[in-house]
Amino acid sequence: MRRFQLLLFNTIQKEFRSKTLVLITIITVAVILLINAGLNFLSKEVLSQMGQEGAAQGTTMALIFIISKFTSLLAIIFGVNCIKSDIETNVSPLLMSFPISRFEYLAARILGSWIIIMSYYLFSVVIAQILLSSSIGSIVGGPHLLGAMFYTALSNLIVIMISAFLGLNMPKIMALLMTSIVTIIVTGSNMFLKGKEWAEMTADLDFFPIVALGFHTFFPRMGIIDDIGRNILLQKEIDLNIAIELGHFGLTTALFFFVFYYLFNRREI
Amino acid sequence: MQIIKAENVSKNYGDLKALSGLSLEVNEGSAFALLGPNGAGKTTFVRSLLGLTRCSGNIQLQGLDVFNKKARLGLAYLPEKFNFFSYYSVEGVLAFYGKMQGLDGSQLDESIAKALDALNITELRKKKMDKLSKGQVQRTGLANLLMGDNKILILDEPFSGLDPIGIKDLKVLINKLKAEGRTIFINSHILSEMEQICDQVAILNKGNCLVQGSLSEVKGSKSLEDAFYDLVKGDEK
Repeated sequence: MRRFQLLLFNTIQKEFRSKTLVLITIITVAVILLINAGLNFLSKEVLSQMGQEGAAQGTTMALIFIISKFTSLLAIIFGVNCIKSDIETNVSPLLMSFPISRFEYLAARILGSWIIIMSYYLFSVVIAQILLSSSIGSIVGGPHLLGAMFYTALSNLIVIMISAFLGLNMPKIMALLMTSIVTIIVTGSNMFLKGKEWAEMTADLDFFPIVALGFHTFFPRMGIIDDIGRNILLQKEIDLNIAIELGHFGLTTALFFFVFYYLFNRREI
Repeated sequence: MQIIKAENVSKNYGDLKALSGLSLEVNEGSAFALLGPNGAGKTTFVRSLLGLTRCSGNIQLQGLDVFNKKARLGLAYLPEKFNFFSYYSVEGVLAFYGKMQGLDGSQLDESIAKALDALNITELRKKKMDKLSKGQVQRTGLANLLMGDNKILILDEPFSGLDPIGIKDLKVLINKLKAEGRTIFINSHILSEMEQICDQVAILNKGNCLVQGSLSEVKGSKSLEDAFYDLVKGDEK
């Protein structure tokens, strides 16, 4: 356990120095400041139409949406690099010569990247909340934000796993592109089949519906998880069985990780 | 007791036979040299020993399968070109190694100071890895071997990148570690140095073990260089 913790901390140290993280954090803070300044400038006009608090709430939602997209981008970049960079710099044989299993190594690298990504997300959301609340003079948002953040965290964990897996099997740029494509396909499949009964899903099966059904059944449903998070953020009603969706997500994520581990375990380092 | 035991180990890369039914035994506390010309399969064997690559046959470290992480307890490895995260200081690298070997607190600080002193790199303590020369990086890698009470030290071409002073220092260090009862497994093709520090030798060629035994058995009345040359050339014919 101690060695796992060391490796986890090593991953956080490694990713924390990423120039991409610094750049995206700067851009995020700039976007937050810009939107906040815009809100202050427009507040008198907007206030008359939707009320100052309503404007702040709307802005918060927009900002969190933007931050979520940046977070997904970071998750893809960090995921691709988290194991690939060890192999490229020839550090992996050294790390593997310690008494740690490949399972621990893989878990430490993925979890460490996820912690960094979520720290960025949390930092950006808190900054946005503080600035907007101070502009408006009262606290915007509420506990529902935590719920939305939980679902974003889940969704990003699987994005990191997919990109780490693809990063090991193809060049970096290709892996970045492929992760984006896979994410779009999975999300699209989830949205296409969302809320449908099994009989409805399997009726009139053509090539594309079969592909969509395959992704929807055997892959973690990122699209559904994002959708739940979005609905919580917008305080809309959720017309899905959350327990079933979370159960499916947990099971398929574990399955994906074990397939990843199995292939990684057979790989030459 | 045999601390490393390999039985009938084979490894192919496509049509190329990197290892062909190799069997080796390394006794605890010995200094073992795995010798061979380039492409003989030395590095493939070291990688197999560390569980970095899969091969057929059976390799055991400390009586355990190499894929069992406990087999690597008390093992330190120095690759041919040592490299670590560039943002780590020399002290940071040693601390990471020490912690991985179970050291902590004052024991860790003491080990770091001793390792730095043994390799004459105390003044580099705070220097980042990417600011070191090739020789200094290699010395840092060697210092890592001293972190913790490692029973097995695996060194892959340890003399490469070292200047004559570094080579002399390394020979002294290896002899000191050998005297402490540690098992030292060295993969090299610098025969003159190996003759001075190793007591067990195996010579590989094209994935086959041509000979294995004590240094005196292998070289007989010849120098190790002559014995090696005759064996490898004879095998080529």
